[in-house]
Amino acid sequence: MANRALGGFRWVGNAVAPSVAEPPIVIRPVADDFAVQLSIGDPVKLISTGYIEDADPGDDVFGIFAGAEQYFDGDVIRKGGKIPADTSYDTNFARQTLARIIPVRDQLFDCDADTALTGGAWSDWLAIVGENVEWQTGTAVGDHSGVTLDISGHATTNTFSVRIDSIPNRDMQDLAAARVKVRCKFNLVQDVGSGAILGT
Amino acid sequence: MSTTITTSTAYRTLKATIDSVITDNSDSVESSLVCKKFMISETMPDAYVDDLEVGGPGLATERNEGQALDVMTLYEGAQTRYWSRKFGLIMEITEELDEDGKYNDRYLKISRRMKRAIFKTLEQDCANILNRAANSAYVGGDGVSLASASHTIPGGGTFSNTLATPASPSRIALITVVQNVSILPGHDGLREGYKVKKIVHPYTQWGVWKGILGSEKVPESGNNETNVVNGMGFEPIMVPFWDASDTNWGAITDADDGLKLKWKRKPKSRTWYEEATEVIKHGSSARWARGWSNARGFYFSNA
Repeated sequence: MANRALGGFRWVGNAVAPSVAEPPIVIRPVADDFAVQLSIGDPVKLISTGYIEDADPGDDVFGIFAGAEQYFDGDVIRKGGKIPADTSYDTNFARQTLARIIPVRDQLFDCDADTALTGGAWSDWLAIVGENVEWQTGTAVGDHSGVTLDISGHATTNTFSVRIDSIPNRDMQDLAAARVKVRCKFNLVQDVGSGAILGT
Repeated sequence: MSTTITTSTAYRTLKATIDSVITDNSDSVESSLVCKKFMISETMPDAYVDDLEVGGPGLATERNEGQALDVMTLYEGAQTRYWSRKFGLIMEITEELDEDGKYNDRYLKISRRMKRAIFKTLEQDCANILNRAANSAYVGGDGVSLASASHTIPGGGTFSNTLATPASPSRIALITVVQNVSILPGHDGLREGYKVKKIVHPYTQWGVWKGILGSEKVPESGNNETNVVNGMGFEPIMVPFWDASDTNWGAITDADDGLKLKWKRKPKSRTWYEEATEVIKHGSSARWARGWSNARGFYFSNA
């Protein structure tokens, strides 16, 4: 069977509270004229100015973008799935761009592997559970992120962003093909509450 | 599950500006299931159930006058265990979207989407038996894959339910399969005379099978010979999720306890409300097991 291509990190549950069937949501502002589009499923970081920015692979991640609480489209304030690049509100903070964010700490996400895993057998996948992997940017589709996992780079390297938690729904995936859904947690978590250093 | 559906992600539905919401059909999704056509549908009362194969005694022996008759026995074969597996999902929407969405009956229609998801999952799960028919990582009670030349017979011996020389769909290949099926040994090792009832195949073979089964004469002999497989009542079944191969195909026979779907619980849905976040949650799940207890119910061409 072909694995469906989905982009970005998709929240699936809480790693420490299994009965919590709802993601935590915080609202954070995005800087005026921020130059990068934010799409549902994109990892974001919190910067020292208090704004949210897109994270780069290898950055400490604050959360996953889950939609636009509001932004000014040049005419009116609106909601949306994504926040377009260069969204401008100047100093009119009633029009400020606000992002809905799922903080990644203690949360579980599914993300697609970009390519087939070498070997591609169940035992090959089991062998990398617990290892780390880096995510990589991709082309957004509609309102949704194009982020995938660079699965060929899996390693025990502790500076990779994501830890592989498990392979969900084993029997319904083609484990030898690209786009296997990988359940993961974030290693490199930007967490103000624990005293971690903010991104810059 | 993914994240909650909110007025942000569904912002296009907050005003009545849309003519049609284009989405998947969720009508008659249960009644149109293809897996019901090639799987035997049963229920299971417990968390797991076992099917046990037993064979014997075999042929009676000829004895002379006054001699005692031979004592024969039974032989136990494979035991096949069916564990119920649960499949399910949750979808959730905010109360704001419930209040403000102008197309919730068409855009969200969550209960119908979840029902579709469950039954499509069932279709995929059942089709995976065919996708993995010759995959030695997926075995039945006798320790071999569904399609194998090493199926065990109680008490000793083996039989094959796969063509020794795989053949693409053709009249001759089907004739060979009909012959091979009819001489398959029963559980006591004796020929049973099983019959082919249905042909299962990927979508890509629909036209080939239409011609093979529907032609009155044999095209390859200049239409001078009767097509013997026409009129035998073989039902071709296109399996939509059989996508591991375009060239494999198989036959469903009249042997008992072939491919089985055992329902532990039909799909169940519920709706609840999270007071703190004012989110409406819809959950649906079902429990089933599937597999095969008697590989004689299927004959495969690994073409």
